[in-house]
Amino acid sequence: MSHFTTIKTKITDSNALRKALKDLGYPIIEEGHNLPLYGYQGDKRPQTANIVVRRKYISAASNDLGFIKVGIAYEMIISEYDVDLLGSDFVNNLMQRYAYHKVLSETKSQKWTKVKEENMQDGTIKLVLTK
Amino acid sequence: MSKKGFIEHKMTQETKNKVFPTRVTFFVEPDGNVTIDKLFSEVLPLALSLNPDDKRIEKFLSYHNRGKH
Repeated sequence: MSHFTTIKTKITDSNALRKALKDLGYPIIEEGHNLPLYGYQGDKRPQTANIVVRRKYISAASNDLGFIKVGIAYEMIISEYDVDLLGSDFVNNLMQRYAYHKVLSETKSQKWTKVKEENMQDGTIKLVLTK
Repeated sequence: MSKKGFIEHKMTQETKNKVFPTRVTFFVEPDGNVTIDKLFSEVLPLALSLNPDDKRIEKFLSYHNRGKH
């Protein structure tokens, strides 16, 4: 048995990603294959994505925010402008909310019960589960 | 066996037979990485779902699954 193992989270679950985006204020997304992405002037971008938050839900001057599945994981397509606009913490916040929902959904399906949830001072979310 | 000895023996047997609940703590860090306090067999599938490319978890999982077929 090992103790304290850290796992570098990868986004592989569209349901958990959808919940994470909702937590960050983007409840409306499009999901499909080869969805076109549009820039802030309404111009069609060369990239396509599987999950898209349309620019109108981000800001008037934003570009679409996309997630494309490459192999087993999703990669984010975000413009430099939107990284500046949303803040450098946006990606980290999204990853944390994703990991939170992923842990809860996987543990629930494996019959674990959450007994404690605590937001720690450093921003870490502590989840205690039992079975 | 004395009465005291019998009671102690019975209590020991009951403790041995009791199934204690398993408990695990996840620390979801601000950058989305997850630290698990105990990586045992029941947690391995979840750990792998967080990063299916993590070779350490794959190795643990194959170790725990050996001989189950």
